[in-house]
Amino acid sequence: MNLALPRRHRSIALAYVLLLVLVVVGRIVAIGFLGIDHIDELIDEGALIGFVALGQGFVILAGGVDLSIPWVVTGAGILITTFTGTSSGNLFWAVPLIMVLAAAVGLVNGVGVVFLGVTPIIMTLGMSTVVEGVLLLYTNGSAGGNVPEPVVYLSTHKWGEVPVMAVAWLVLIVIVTFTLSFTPFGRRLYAVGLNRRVALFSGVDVKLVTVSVYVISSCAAAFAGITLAGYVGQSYLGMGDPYLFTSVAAVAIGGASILGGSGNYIGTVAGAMTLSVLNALLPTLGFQPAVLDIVYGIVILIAVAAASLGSRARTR
Amino acid sequence: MTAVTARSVWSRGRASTKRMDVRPGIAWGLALVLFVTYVLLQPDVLSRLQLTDLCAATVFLVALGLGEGLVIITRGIDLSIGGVLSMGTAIAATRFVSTGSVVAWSIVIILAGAAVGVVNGALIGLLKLQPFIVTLATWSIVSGVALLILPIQGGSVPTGFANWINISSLGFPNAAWVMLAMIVFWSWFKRTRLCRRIYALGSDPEGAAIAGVSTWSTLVAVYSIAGVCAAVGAIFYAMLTASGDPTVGNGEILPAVTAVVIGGTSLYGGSGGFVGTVGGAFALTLIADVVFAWNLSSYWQELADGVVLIVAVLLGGALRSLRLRRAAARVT
Repeated sequence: MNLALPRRHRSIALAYVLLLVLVVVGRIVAIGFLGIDHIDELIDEGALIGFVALGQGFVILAGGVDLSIPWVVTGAGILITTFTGTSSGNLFWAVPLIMVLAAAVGLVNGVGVVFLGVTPIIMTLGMSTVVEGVLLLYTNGSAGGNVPEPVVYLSTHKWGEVPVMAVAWLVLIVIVTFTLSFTPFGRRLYAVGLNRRVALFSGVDVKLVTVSVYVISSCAAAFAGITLAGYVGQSYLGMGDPYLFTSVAAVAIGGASILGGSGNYIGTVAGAMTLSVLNALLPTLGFQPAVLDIVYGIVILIAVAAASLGSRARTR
Repeated sequence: MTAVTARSVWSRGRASTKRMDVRPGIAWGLALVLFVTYVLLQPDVLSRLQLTDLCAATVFLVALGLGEGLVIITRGIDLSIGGVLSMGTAIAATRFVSTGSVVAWSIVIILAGAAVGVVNGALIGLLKLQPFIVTLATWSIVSGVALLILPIQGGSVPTGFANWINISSLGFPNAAWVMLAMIVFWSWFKRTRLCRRIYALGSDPEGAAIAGVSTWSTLVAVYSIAGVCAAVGAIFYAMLTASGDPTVGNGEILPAVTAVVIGGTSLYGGSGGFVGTVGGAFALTLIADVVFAWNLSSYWQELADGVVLIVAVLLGGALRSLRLRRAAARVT
């Protein structure tokens, strides 16, 4: 375990170096880049990516992938506006209900993968379409409505110079890092991702751990959906679409192995911020937003090649 | 020792292509039941026009399924077909009218699809990377390219080009002729050496390598075929909608996989075929038609697609474990 640490820290450090380079480049080429308002915007958008990548990171750590994230994000965003409207009082039941629904989606994903033996990609792709269908039926194809005030507060308000969202993200970073590094669950999760069979023989409840990462993923996506609705001030069908590639790319840049078993949320945070900065930087450099999709793909390919070649070198 | 393994792998590869398989029948049976339901709900669908529509709406999915099916036989998955479909319609909608050369740009679309497939195949075959993550990445890249070519839904294709899919030749809809051509292609292709290698690779990768099957070149071929099929699908999709949509492919990955899976091709690799996929594609189109004829919201179709995929995968898994258990019982 100790032997693996320097390597892990190296790839995470690399993610922060990449972020720093991008920030410096941005400062040089774009006027107004990293002004105080702009920093807030970068952090807010980084946090949204960070929330979805949190869940995707757990699933990837356990050796899977979650394709249902975009429609869970959209679902949570739409339900928060349709359930509550402007009356904030409804939030007391609406938020828990959305979280329970999201957890149910994650539970079905997890049960399908673990107990019915469906591959993660097929199970989560199928669930994605099921969630999409249910949402289309529920909203009859036209979502809308106002975002309740407390959600807008969470997503856009500032305490002094510090965005509330940044504080929320910081709290999540502490919780997730603690969970991964210092709890039995975290240790079991790394064990499952490294080698399912060895973990099983070591007495880890592999099934429980695997199901729980899908539940965590859906809940994180739902939280992202609620804050996204607050951030953009509305909800619409397809609002979660960009977050599939983004979530995988953030985890990949953060130095996690795409094949599972290694990685850390601290790295993913750097990945999320890198993507947020890149997102802001590309238009100022004269690129269309679509270039981002190309960048995501290349980043994922480099990460998976590095992870695969690295693990082969180690086993040799 | 090696020779024995080699022979058993080759014979297994051949056996699964030749053995009488009932699983395609399930897809065609489902399609038939749905068709009868559709006819009962809406008796006037038995017109030439409606049947032509049915074929036209199915043909692009059949093309996607041909490639995706071969990939799934090798135990892989190709998500990038969604990107290739989007990119193909984007190219068609922006270049066909402005340049006037439909054939030349159709070839460009197909070559672009093949290029994506070669990249997929090389990364999966040579670097031994996992298919789902490689094709997720190339899906993202090609989606970006599609959006660069055509930022929003729109554009147009020549009227004559779009109409071709809706007319008949020699008494049958053109779309039906296309599907027939694909089935003829398949019945030739499944006898080729390449196809036997594909099945051998899917049923026993290590054994196939021992038997002298070049894993990487087979995988490059398979993913290239998938890319070409997706590109051909894009051309038919552009005909069907008479325009382009840079994100349309994202929603067609699941139907393509579903058509393959209900067509009886196993996600565990090494078995299945194209004939079932055609039935599966018709079944999916007919689900949409029945939903429409029933006066249900068209959104039920999304829900049905997802549920059908998961149920089909579960059924496939159950059938497989039943067969394995029976085989085990026979041995003991």
